[in-house]
Amino acid sequence: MSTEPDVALASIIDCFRPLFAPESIAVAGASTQGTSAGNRFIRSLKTAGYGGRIYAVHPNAEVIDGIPAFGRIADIPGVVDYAYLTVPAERVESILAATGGKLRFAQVMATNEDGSSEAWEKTLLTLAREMGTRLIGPNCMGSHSPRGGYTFVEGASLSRGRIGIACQSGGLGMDILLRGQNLGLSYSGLVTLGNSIDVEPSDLFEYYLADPGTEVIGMYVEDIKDGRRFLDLARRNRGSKPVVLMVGGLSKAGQKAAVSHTGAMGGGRQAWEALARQTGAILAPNLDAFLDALQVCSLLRPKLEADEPTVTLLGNGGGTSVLATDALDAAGFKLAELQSQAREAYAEIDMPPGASLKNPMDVPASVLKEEEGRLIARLLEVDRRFTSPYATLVHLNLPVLMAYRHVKDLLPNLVQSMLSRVPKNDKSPHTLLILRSDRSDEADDWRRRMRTVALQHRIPTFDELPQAIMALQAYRKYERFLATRSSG
Amino acid sequence: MLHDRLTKGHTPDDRADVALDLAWNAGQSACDEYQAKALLRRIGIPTPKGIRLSASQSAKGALGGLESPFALKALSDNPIHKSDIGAICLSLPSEEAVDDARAEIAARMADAGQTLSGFLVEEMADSGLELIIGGIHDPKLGPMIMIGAGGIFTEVLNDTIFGLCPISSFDAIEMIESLKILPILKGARGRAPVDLTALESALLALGGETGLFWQRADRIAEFDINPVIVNAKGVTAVDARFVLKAST
Repeated sequence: MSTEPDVALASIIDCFRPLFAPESIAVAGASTQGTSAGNRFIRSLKTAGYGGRIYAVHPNAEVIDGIPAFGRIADIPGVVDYAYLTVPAERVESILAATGGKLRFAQVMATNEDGSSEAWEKTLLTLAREMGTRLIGPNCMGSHSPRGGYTFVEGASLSRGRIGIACQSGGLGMDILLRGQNLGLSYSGLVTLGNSIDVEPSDLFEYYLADPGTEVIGMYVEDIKDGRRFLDLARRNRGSKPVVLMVGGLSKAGQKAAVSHTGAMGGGRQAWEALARQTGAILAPNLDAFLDALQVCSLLRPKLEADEPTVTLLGNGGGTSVLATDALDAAGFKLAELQSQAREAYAEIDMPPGASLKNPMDVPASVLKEEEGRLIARLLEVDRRFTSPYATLVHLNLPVLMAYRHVKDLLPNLVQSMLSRVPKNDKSPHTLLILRSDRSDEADDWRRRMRTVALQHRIPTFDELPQAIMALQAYRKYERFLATRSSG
Repeated sequence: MLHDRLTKGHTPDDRADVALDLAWNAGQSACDEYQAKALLRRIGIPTPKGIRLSASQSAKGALGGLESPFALKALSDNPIHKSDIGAICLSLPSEEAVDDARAEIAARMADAGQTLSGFLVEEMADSGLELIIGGIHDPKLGPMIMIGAGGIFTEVLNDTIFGLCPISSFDAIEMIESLKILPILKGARGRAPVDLTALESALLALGGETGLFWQRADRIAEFDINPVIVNAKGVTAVDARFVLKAST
């Protein structure tokens, strides 16, 4: 074995350590009045309990929000790992020019709007290169690193996760952080890259592939300059870390007219679909699908032996399961057939009439309420032992169940008993929980509580069945890639 | 299973580059069909037997070795859609018929404002299913190769799939197996199954690690082989054009 790959891995991790685990942070764009974006960032560093040194960069103040301020980064004692620059575009140059060569990473939020952005970006890049600074942005919103103990979004959780994100849009980066957080996702890092004049999606891709703290990689890309490098990285990964991509700007508009039939048929969409097919990446069409794919990738373990993607569908709501059956069929899944052993085992369970114990298993609330909600554990046990499908989708229509208020702790019991039976091994079905709400505050509140419990048991949760099926379909493709190609 | 029959890609014959370089050095914006087919034959993709005539040359006594009926096609240094402008005549029974058709095509080319650099006379291809194989550069992700349902309704049918170069044998098979027309290729309703291995080899000879398009992506801007006729005996490239990058 050559030692080269290890050296390469070490170097990319070393290269990005100042960004993900900065020992010192400088903030430019905080004012003595304490109201600007820079002040908010300083406050968030303090709230988060950031453990490193914090400095402000300001032309004349000596102290801002209680932290020492310097006129130039060059005057700050020691090396500065990361600078968060929220100053207007025209001030960025002078800050970058006066680092004395001791700034590792600069994140530039500003956008140049006077029509000379190309020249401005070129100047910034030249300055950064001269000063030995890696530049992130411009036109971005910041970074989030639980390991480093800092975030650019107020209210974002700094609990350490295993999903690494690179995002060429600041706003979407915030969405991924906050909406993802409410879905139970947590991150090893999230960097908004903006126009990516220096640090590019491929750089972070390479970093996350090497980073032992990252298990799943998600990226939003809009304008990738080194597409072949990106492709090579995806090819080398061979699916060993799941990669979820959301790609913007794929419509035909603006594409140049083609001379050939082939040119008329192909475009960015076809190219990215090919990349996904050839490298095992998951291509998500929108934010929710992106987050759902990240969720299944971080919670499920690949079932490589499953040749047939059979599904058990169990829950309350007849029409819902009929529609879900159609959606499963369209997504290439088939309902698992119940064998006689399973039918006999179900028949032995004592329950009131009303349940249809064929697949899809329509179990109304009047039956689910039995044993104060613990009956479901026995149904799922039969499913696991005798049907043993590829996946089991449990859907609960919360407002209907909520109506059984006289049954003590029905909903907590349902979710607890459902989860407690799950003996996780590679042969267990993928279990997905669909918590359907009528959007009332009460149902939404139950959904949140049940989701939290489910996540502790590594069960992905969804608002509706079509989303769950779409996520499972994406994950299935990834699994098939691993099963057929990862060793080839 | 097709997967069990992995084959190696063809190494392009060094001489394949000759026809390409010839067109490139002459400053053509595209290889004409005669040059394109020379390229294809040299990387192992069969074409119908054919002879080149200059723009003013009669077919009489010039078609030795070709069996009628003939196909007659205009040659041009520019990428043209021959069927759109009527620059192609099929099933011509004799040399006389070829000469009559020559005059008609020359007139249509002139009407369309296209320069005629000569004619290609070919034997008619065997029947089979019409596919298209092509290649383009994605501005971000680079050269990619396509296979799809071919013929004049390619765009209407829209049954195509792309692969980023270089494609592996596995990629080539997966692309073929993704086509909606796969059941027809495999012999639906009592038809003879087509030679899928030949199809896979053709994809690799163009877009594989040693494939012509991947190797010469610096000069080839895009290409169409449409149709590629595929049947139980193999593949035949019936029409082909390679659009060249501007040689600046």
